[in-house]
Amino acid sequence: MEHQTEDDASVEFVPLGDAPGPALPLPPAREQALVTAAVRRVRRAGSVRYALQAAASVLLALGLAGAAAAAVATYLSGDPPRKPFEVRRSEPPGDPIRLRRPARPPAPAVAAQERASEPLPPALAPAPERAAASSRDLLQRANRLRARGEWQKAERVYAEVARSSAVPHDAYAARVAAASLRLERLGDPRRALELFRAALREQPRGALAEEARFGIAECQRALGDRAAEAQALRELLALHPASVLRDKANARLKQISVPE
Amino acid sequence: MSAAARTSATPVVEAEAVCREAAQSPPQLEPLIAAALGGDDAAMHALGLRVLPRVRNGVRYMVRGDHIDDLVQDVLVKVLERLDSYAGRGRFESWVDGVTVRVIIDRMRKLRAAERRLAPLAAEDCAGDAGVASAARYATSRQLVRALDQLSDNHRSALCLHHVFGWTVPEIAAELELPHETVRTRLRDGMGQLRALLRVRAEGEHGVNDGTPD
Repeated sequence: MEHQTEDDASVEFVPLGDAPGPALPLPPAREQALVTAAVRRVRRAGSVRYALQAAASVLLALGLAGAAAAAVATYLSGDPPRKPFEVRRSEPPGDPIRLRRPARPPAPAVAAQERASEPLPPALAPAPERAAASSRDLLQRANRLRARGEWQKAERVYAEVARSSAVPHDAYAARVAAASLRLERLGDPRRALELFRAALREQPRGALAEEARFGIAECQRALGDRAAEAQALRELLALHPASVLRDKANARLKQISVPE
Repeated sequence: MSAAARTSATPVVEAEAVCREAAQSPPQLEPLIAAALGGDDAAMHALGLRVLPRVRNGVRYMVRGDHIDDLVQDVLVKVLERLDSYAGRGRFESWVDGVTVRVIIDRMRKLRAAERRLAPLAAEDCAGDAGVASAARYATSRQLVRALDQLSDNHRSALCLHHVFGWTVPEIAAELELPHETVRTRLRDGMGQLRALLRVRAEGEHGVNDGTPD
């Protein structure tokens, strides 16, 4: 069963490559000029960085020398060095120390309201909130690693969140992300399949169910099991008829239904 | 890859089709990258020229109008500056695509903050070089970006990240800090609008006769 209608005229996104299009072609001289300008900018930025680093080193050296000179001068003058954070009293001797009246605390209702609107520092937050914050931090860290192309590290952090997060949605999202990385970046479709299936078992109608079902089909494709791949694609189309992956699924189903 | 080629593929080839990192960069790139990392200007220049067409095509997909070369230069600078973070992991082209997307998203964020548009709609001022071997491919991609130019930035960036750069919905959601469902809605609505635009264009080109004389 294919869920393609007449309205679904295919839109062909020409894959990126070196061939012309969609950018207008540039004459070779302009290509050269563009690249030359970029290399010059890199060089200039490098020189500025080097100059700043050199200046910072000189300032640091001067600062250290100054501090050393001051210490030597203090030692030679015989004046004992002041204790750190020692407070010199400005009041004349004998003047009684006046205690300042502390500011009146806000009314309890207002204070409670203010406290409620301020996020608590992680260390003071109640345990479930602390766990959520830490799992969200870890997820963000994994996202950053993935964005930088550090697939293996990102996968490890996602797996950690999937294993240990107390927040079900975070664990679920991390499981799907780890599965995608295993499949698409780390060449491990077998483990990816297990993770996609686990995510679906956990939340069959979850926010990432489409991706998990398509992922299962892609894992089966990578493992060379056409029948299982076709079944997974049909399941995706049946359960998510308006999926953004519908065109890809239909195209692939068409492809694998061609007799060899 | 043609459909016939794919259907007769072995599991290994299928695995490569699924895994975005399966193919490695051509070996002749490695010495060039190493020399560029060592500060060799000629190697940096050669590497810049090597990635330039891909970068320009990627930028044009994401950005409205044909005046893209300032942004392309920014991408080249970032590619050359951050070369040490590539470290031979996966395909060099995929890494360059990642840098390209991030420079564009960063630029879009800044422009959005300043409530400006990226560039005015540009007239097609050059089609003379379309008579190359890949003319059909060129024509298709030009037709597509002209339609993309009429979409909102939100729809356009979602569609291009997904269909051109191959990002998944969760990846786009994480990068743009959006809920998954918002990304899906943008993809669905954007694709609907794109289809409608392309259909109108095709009908116009194939002379759907509305009774008016030429």
